[in-house]
Amino acid sequence: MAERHILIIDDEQAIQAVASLSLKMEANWQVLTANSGAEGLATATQEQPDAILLDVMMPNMDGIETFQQLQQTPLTCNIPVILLTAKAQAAEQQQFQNLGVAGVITKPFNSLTLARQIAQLLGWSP
Amino acid sequence: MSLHLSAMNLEKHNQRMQLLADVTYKIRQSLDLHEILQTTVTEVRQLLDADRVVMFQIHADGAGTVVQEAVLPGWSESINQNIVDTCFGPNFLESYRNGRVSAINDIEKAPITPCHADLLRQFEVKANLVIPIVSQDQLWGLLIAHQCSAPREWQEFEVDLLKQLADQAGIALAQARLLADLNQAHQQLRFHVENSPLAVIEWDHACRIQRWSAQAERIFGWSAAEVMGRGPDHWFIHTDDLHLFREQVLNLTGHPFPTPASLDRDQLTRNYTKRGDLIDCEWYSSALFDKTGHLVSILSMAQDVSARQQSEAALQQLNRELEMRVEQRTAALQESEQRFRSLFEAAPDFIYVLDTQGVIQHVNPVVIERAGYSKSELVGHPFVKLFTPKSQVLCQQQFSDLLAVGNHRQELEFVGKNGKVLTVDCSFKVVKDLRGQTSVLVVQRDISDRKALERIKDEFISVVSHELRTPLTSIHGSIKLLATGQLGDLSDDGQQMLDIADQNTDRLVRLVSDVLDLQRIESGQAKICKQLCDTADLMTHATDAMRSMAYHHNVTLKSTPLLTMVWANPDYMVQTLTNLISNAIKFSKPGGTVELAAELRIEERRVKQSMAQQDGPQNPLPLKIKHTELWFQIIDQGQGIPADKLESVFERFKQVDASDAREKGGTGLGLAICRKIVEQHGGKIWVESVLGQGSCFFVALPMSCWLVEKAEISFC
Repeated sequence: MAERHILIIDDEQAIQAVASLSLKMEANWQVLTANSGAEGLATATQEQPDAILLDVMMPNMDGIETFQQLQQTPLTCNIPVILLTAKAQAAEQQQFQNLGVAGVITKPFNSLTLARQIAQLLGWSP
Repeated sequence: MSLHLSAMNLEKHNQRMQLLADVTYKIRQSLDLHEILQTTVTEVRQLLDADRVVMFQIHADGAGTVVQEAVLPGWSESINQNIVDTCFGPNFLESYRNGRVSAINDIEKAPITPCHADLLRQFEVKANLVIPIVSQDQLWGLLIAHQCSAPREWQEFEVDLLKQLADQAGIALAQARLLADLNQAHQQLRFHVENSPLAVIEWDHACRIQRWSAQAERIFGWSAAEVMGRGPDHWFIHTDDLHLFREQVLNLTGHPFPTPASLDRDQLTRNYTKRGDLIDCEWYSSALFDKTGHLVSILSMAQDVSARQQSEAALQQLNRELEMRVEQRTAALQESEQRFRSLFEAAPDFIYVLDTQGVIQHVNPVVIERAGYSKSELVGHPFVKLFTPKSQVLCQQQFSDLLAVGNHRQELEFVGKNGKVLTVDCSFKVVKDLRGQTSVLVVQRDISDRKALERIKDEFISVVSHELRTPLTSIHGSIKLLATGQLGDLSDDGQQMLDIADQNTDRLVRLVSDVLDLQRIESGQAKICKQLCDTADLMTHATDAMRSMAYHHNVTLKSTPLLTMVWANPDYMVQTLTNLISNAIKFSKPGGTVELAAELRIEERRVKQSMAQQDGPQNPLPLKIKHTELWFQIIDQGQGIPADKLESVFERFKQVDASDAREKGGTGLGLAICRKIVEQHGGKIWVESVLGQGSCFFVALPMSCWLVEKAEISFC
């Protein structure tokens, strides 16, 4: 797969580590991480990643609010966002889809196919 | 000489008086009209020695008829001739009414009209004496004497004599008329008595029967001859009622004279018939007294009212029964009313009675106590105003359909007087009272606590879901990466441990998903939102999702998609089918086949009579309906399920064999989830199996039923 820069915004460092390693091993993508929504906003603005993997359940600023802020910021509004959520129900996922995100990945994700899943959602070539 | 003349005159006068008396006697002897007239004309003719004497009866129109005549042979007869008053003067009738006497000695010389003279000539009259006959102050006619042979000078005494005879004739005529009238009245009375539907009995002054009508014979059986002269006694009147009859007689006979005695009030007695039957009779009696006040007779009229009495008795009995039933029914209604009132007053839920416009008519006390509104703030006001604006819209939308549908249930947000919003569950029911008046009964239950609990549960599930899945993600993800071997080699034992961790992490992930799924479905959080689904699509999605698993297990997966539509939640149906297919694959031997099939099952069912009348008598529902179901079948050739486990496999953590949990990787919740999903669709799930041969899991979902042609009425 082509080289990509992915920003992972998740308050769980363990998940940051697993997801980062997974994307590096599977697709050799470059991964940036942020521990909170606010940090993620700043990093996204500065680094302009190709995509953002955004956890929904975060303290202070949750994923939904972070997404809305990203959308309102000119520099980040065009960066595709994939939500990472523990809510697996179709209705809940549909709610997220209705926000305008590029996709939703449920936890626990398959760490062997995460990159492929992201590429499929974003329409990136394999 | 003069003395002799006087004696002669006196003699003549006496003779004339005697003659008058004789003739008068003869005239008055008879009461027969014809005889009176005949006698009069005959005697007068003889007395006067006239050629012709006629009685001329004058009619109301002034014309007249010769009704009687005495004429000497040789002269023409005028009997029955009608003579019209064209010849006489216009006032001739009036003059005769006033007593005018006309004596014409010679018609040729008399000052009469030519046509009068001609009329007289017709009858060969030379001299004419006409005397009016007045009867009961009316001009009856004329007594006319004719002399035909020659003119004649009528003597004064002849005129006087005729006048007196005419008077007597008038009296006789009046008497005859009275007699005729009396006879006619008698005839009429007799007719009515004989033809009356009432028995007419006349009693003499000693209460002995002296008249017994034909109807009396018909009613009582005895003939007149059998009862004549008998009194009202035990043979005729029931012993216990005799006194009633006697009282009636006493009331009549004791009545003050000369006022006629009759009774306004009828008397009811029991009477015997000749056959010995006892009948109820109604008596109406009157008493006749003579001029001295003595009782002449009592007239009684009676009718058999036995049938009427029986009907009245039956009616009274019916009335009593009806009153009793009404009392019972009233008591039952009062009891029911009391019960309802008790429920209404004491129920912990809010109860409203609305009219068809949604205006509150009644509320139970709980509404006032807990909502904080006064009765006047509620009664007479629209029900919807008690809710938030959003709920008002929902409520109004449903209310208009409610009257057609009959009942409805809805969650709404109620606003108390203090502004506090409560989530309430409202049940609406259209009711009709006995007068046919329609009302809407609303029972409102506060479900705020339940909703809060649900929210807590939802949050808990959400939190648990997140809290469980988050570390699982790290564990599962990191183990998977380790297992690739790309992060370094492990010893055989280390690799084995890693494999164990990997497998069990997978198992834990599935378990957490299933537990959370089941919890969501059971708590109702997972709302089954149904839509029209293509069955073929559902089947295709399910089989596509399982193809990889089937390939890895060396199992052939077959599917025959059915082209039909079903009302279901597509994601949950796919989840159910994939779960069942997954189980079938897991429990199949390598090389085996798993098949997913579907079909429509149509069953004719009879409905109960009450359902058949729901649509109204003018459009009754038919009694047979077609009930259609969509059946999915998942067939495998696996190990099968023992008969005693066919039900329990659908329970949580129940598998055919405990070892299956480890070997097949199942969580023990898959079938429980399937069952919950299917039940929430209103369907059924079950399994048929033969040990060692395989199993078939069935999922039946209801389709809409439609009505077939009407069948003859029969009961289920």
